[in-house]
Amino acid sequence: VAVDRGKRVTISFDNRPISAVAGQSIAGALYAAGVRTFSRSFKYHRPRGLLCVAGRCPNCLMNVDGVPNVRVCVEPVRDGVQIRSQNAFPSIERDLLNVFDKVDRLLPVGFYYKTFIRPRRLWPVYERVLRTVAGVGSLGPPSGAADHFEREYRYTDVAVIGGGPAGLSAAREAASLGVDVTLVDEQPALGGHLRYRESGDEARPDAAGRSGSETAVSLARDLVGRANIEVIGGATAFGFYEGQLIGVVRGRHLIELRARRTVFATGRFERPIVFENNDLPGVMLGSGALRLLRLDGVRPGERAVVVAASDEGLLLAAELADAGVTVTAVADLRPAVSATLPVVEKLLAAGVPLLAAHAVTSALGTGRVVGATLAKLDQQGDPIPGSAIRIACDLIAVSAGFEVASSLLYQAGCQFEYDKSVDQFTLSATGPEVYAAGEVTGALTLATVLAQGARAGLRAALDLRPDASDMSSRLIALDHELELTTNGASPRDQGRNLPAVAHPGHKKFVCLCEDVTERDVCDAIGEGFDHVETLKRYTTFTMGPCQGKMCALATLALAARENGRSIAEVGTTTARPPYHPVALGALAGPHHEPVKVTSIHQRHTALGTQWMDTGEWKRPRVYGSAAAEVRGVRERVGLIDVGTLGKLDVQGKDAVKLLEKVYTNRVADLRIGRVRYGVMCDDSGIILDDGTIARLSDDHFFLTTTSTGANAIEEWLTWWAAGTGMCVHVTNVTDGYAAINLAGPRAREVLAKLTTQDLSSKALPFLAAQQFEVAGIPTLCLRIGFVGELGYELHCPAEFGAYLWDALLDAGKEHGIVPFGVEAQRVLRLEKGHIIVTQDTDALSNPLEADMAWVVKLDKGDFVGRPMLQRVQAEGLRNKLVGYQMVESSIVPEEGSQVVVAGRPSGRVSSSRFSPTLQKSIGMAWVPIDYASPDTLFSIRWNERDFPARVVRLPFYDPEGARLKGGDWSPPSTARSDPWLTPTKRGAFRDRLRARGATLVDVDGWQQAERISSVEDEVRRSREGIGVVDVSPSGKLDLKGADVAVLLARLCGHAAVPRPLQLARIELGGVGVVLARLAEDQVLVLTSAAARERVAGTISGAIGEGNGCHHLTDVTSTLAGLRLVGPRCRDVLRKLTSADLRDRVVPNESCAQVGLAQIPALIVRRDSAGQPSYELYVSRSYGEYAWDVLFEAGREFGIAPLGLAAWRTLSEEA
Amino acid sequence: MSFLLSCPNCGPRSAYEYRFGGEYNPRPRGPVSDAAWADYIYLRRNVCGEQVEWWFHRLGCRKWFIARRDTLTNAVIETYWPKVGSSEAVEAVSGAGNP
Repeated sequence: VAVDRGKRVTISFDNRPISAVAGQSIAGALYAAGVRTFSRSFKYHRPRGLLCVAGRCPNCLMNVDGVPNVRVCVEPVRDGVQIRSQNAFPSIERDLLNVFDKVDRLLPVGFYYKTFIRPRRLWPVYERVLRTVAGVGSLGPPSGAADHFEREYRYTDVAVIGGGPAGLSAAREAASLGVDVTLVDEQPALGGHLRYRESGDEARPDAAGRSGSETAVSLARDLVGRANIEVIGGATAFGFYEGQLIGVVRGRHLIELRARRTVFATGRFERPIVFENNDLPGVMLGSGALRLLRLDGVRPGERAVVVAASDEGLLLAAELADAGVTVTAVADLRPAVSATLPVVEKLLAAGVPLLAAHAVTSALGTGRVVGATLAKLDQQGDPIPGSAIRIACDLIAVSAGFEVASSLLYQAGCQFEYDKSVDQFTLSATGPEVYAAGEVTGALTLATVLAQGARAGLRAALDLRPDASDMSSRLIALDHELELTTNGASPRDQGRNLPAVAHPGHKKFVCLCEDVTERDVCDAIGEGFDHVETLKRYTTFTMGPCQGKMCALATLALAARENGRSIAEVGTTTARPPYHPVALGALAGPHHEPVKVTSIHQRHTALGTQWMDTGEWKRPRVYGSAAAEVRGVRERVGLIDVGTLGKLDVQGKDAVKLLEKVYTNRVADLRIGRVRYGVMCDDSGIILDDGTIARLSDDHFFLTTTSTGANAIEEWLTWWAAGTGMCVHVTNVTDGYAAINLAGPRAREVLAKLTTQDLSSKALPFLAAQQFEVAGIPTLCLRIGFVGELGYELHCPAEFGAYLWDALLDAGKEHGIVPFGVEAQRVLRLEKGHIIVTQDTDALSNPLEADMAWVVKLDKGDFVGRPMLQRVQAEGLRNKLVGYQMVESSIVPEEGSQVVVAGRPSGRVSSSRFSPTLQKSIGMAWVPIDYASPDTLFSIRWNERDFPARVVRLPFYDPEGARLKGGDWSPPSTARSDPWLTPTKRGAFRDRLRARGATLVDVDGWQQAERISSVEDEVRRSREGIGVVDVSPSGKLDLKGADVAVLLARLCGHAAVPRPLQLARIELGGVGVVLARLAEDQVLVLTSAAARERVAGTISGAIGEGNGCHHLTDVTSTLAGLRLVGPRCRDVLRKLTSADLRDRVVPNESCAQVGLAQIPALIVRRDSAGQPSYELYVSRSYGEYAWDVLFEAGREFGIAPLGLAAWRTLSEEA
Repeated sequence: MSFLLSCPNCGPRSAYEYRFGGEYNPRPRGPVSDAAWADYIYLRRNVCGEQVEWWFHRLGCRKWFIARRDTLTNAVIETYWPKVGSSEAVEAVSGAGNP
């Protein structure tokens, strides 16, 4: 007995305080307090009481602490828990909606297909009423706890489903071979049916003289404390999916368990039989009565009628009698019962009337059972008229049939056949790489079940450890034992297993979930739904909360009877997940939608910007008035954060070759220090992306892509290089650089205040790409002008982003500088006629028709898209992207509006704005080629009216490009007024740390957290849970090259070179560094912030000396880093990544690149002071997102940020 | 879809970590007929059974590799790096249609 008599708790049921015993289930406590009606049925609102007491049937669904549809029979009591009944008005005991039970003739099977249809307009009313009166629990208003769901990913070698004797035996045996074993069991404690069976086979004292429950305890104890066995208790395996993925749900917590082998030891369960009023509270399954008795310590009734169909039922009667229940009769469906059975002798000795060849035909009573009608059966098993007797009782315990828990096995490819001799589906074939053991296979004696379990566990483990050949003798021994137990066991009478006896009477429920009666099933078959799959959809049997556990076999038996066929011929419905109801929130999991922010994000927030989404990026749409921002740029100077632009670093002697291949225009003739616009197409000639190409040296390029195109273009470039052996390396450095576009007629004056660089058009002409210092920090300056003014696109290391923004704003103050957002930029570039890929182009746009023939060099040799573009050129253009101006300036049609020519839709508007500069309504549109020449008129259909528009030659603004190129210029005499603000480096987590009250200090130029709470507290939290240190400032160098190992061997000796996915600690030029070998051809060099440049110099020197193809890219600014330290590190990580992080896969001193809450992350494992420790590196723009998901997931483990002071303390101890 | 795919670098991972790059479809080299070019751009074999295809380890090492997979059962028979060498022409290995 699991209850602890000494400890009492108080629970509340419909606002009524109830005293309960610790260890009891809620249902047990309520039952002890006299509650008999636990729910109201779906359709007729009939009272329903406890039936299975095992978490399978739909009868005890209640709202527990705001969570609806909790099965209270397997939910343990907790002090102060609030329990509410569901689906009843005004109360569960007096439910007025019970009136539907009286008018059931109006609600025949499938009534919703026949009624409540006309008039159609009333459907909303019908729907509201139906939804209120029918159904189960309802969700309350959103509330924190009840809406919180968790997700976790686990890996194992052998999964064992079911914690009964077979499962326990399998787990123990498999684990003995050293493989990882995970046992999933739906009950609160291990042991399966042994937990509550004190008699029968299980109670026959074994050699050690143990009873069933003692055996269960000793088997379970065997598993405790074994490092390679993990038990997930109180959890349901609800689905078996491709790749041995097992869906496991424990309340609000979903576990994706990935196994290599699975042993199903799901057992069997008891199910009800069909007779009149068989749903009356007081009708209980035999196992349910025993569970109440043994597990909750509650007597299920005072006077019981036991319905038996096998010896199992007789044993039940004996156990009830032993517990002090008066058994008024045992009705056994079998024609005769052997009087020599010990249990029969025992029952007769106790004076229990044993009626063979008797069936229960009706439960008597209103609201609860007061008696039962029994009838004698003839030789065909049909009731003999006039033989009925009535017996008073308050409990009808039914033990008349079991069903194997086959659903998951079906999903795993196992097959079952109906065996008429035992009236059961029995396993006929197992699926690939799975095993079955125990009662689910039809085994019945404990010895057989244990031997089967051990054998299945051993075979599963042997599959994974073919080296363990010494175990083959063990397998033979188990085979032998199994043979002995199977042959040696006295065949127990399995009796009848029939779910229904044909007899008159109504209100004979087949499906309790959906209130389907025997008559409903017969009517449905009469209406033609005779196939089980159509019958299922029409009557909805198996579709309720029990998912067919209670009703499937009964319905199949009825379908067989009504169709005049056998159950084997009728077959079963397809078993699909979920096997057990799962909350949609649990399937969805926590909200993990990645968000990217630039390094200047916080500055925009401070300016009160209105945000917009561009892919995953957050961008400022507008700060105040877009028109004012446009004017500010045209008349004075503006600045915009363009850090979202994709940025790719391309290096290698074949870089030109690769770029010539993917760009439509020429790259080879681009001079060093110059930048050029470029377009990429796919092989069907469609524009993929556009951006700029800057040449930094002979074999070093810096590309920009669209804001949403960075990853796709990185993939595109690496794909075209894959397998070619070209010496070229592409590194995505999007997040490594902050980028600010400074544009406007006074841009040069502003910039001149911050740099000593000669900004004259001679020294820094239009389309120059030069590196120089601005405000004391290194920048790459591209002289380009998307918005059509004199402009400087400044790229600096991301940690300086906010600083550069501040410095520019400060320097521009006297020139009336304005920050401008995406909206103003869209207007400005439209005035200039620059396209935005994916806004002005779509999946049919080629650059020739997009009016960019100048960027397509068909004469340069092969490139991606060339053959198709040649063809387009040869056949002539069909459409063209043109600039237009509305004839009526007040009309600004919506983007996407149709272009109408001769009354027919012939194109679309791709961009449309009112131009504050020109005071006109302008736009770009795709029009048929005949309408593409300037001054042609066409119509734009908007709001169901056609408005005239005139084609205008692009650009609308500054057609000569005089403003873009800027005039001559000589530096003002007051060139630079030192000192400027002090450059500060801000890491990705700086604002998050500050928000938690961190004390920031400058170390190596970076603003870092010295302490957050107190050193003692932070140290303690990291020892008990998880501590998190910001390691973003550390130096990170990305070294790529096919023979990178050769290069490293030259630097540190062959022996020190780490193998792929491993780490090595070495000295480079007197500096300690960690080499993380990310791949055969890639190493990430980790060092201190201070030593970064020195280490980079050493490696670059070595690269220069050799003649291999190696390249080094500094990714310090690109990657943000967090070090996790503490005993619960892995627990939090496995909530965020689906990758396998077990010690065997990611041991100490190794690394792995994994998906973490949908973003790419690098995990570097470096345990410290005996504590597991993982460094986590993510691309900087994802930093705050990663921080947020990490702290959210880690809350339950007491995650806390650590300052440098606490980290020093921890490291010193190490 | 819940099968595991083994990245030649990172090992077995959930298929969700990857981007499917389409069936292996070599780009014709040199002058070819319009029909052959149209086949390359627009037609896929779409086999029911074993297929050679591109995958990109999007959330991992961000490298392209080739897999042989049974499209009916999702059983992955083999994964490997695209082979470098003269036996297979450059275009026949990389740059095959839209990934």
